[in-house]
Amino acid sequence: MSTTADLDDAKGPVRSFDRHGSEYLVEKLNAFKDLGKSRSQIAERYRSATLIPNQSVSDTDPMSTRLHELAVARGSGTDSAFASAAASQRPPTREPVKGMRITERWEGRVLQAEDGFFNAELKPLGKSEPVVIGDISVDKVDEDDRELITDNAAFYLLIGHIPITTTSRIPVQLIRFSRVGKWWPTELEELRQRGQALFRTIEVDDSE
Amino acid sequence: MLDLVSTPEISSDACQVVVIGKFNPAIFSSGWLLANDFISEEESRDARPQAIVPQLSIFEVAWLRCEVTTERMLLATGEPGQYERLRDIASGILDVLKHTPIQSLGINRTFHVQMPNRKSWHLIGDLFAPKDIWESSLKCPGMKDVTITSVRRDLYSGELNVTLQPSATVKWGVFLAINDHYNLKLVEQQPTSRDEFEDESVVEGRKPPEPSAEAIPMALDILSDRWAESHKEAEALVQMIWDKAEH
Repeated sequence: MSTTADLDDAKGPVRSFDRHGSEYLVEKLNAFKDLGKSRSQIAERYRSATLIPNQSVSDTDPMSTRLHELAVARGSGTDSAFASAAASQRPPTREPVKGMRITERWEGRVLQAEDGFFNAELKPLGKSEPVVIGDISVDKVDEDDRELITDNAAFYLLIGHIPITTTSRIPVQLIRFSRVGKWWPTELEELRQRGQALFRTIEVDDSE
Repeated sequence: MLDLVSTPEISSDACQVVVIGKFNPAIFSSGWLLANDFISEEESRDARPQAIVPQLSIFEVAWLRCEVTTERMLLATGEPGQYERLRDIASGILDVLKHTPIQSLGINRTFHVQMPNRKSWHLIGDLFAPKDIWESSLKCPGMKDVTITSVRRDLYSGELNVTLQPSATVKWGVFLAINDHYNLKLVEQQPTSRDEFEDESVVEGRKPPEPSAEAIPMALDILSDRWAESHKEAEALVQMIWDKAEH
């Protein structure tokens, strides 16, 4: 089983790389071959953990209403306003990755999508470290996120571990593509018009 | 160098974004999130609705929990690997609902931390709520809840609230909730001493503004610019509590 020492060892001295020499990232990604196993081992332990289980404090405090308890209590009754409790007990189709301790957060941008991999720029989040560029295999991305691998798409690379006992940990690496919402035709039209207006301003400046 | 002993043993870690304003709960559903490309089709198939009525919408979809009333929107996840996406969805929703009046925002983290042993668990309670003062009046006094509030370090109106309780789910565990609360307006300066809390300008500055759609850009800025710092502060607080325990 891998330990934190493996994570630190995998880090190595290489902090920048190009598409033909992405040692740092390759090492990092290779350190997490057991991800599928990690999820299933860990999922059961954390499945029962609730998001808001203690008592309330203030208005933007997540515990400031009892909605969760209300829903559970009424949902299991006959009130037609609430969905059945059975519906809420359906097992998730995707196993959650809970209990992950994240040691590194990177914000990525796809520079060029290729066949089977993509070239990306990675910027460390919350640290003033240099931006790095490297290739990432499409296999490292969840299947339902793969359609998002297009030029300029934003994603997050999260590196960390899930503790099993006080002395053993399973390394975990996740790539999550950002979904910030759809560009609606009206928004695109508004931006196009703003761009045109700005362009006209520049033209006026040029003529002067 | 590895130092496993000094790392808090976190049994559960969750993040919530709470926005106070005037919402229309009926529009919130997994289908609406999918239609706006906030979640994938695969994720939308893992929807677990609990209540969707005009006054209230509660559902879970994949890793996300959503609770919306006419006055409050809560988005939450217990998966640390999804915290950035939680922020993206919160920002995306506010951007879509750009005409929704809002007044305050909370970036929150909650932790259940397993203390090394019973003695350490009591030590935390005794440290943050000393019992000497109670022992002459009460029998076996114990700490149930301590909340400390802090002035913000930036110029946003608001406060940082830290709540410490015995964990309801982890034996010999403590529950820590960090509420990074923003009233969506700026103040000229934050109070620097207890006396200043009575100043009229400080009292006024600490009040939330009237709900307004004009506050949405500020909420988006906070989610973008303060997110990482807020999480760093929360994790530092967990470490601080953990370091106080006897290992």
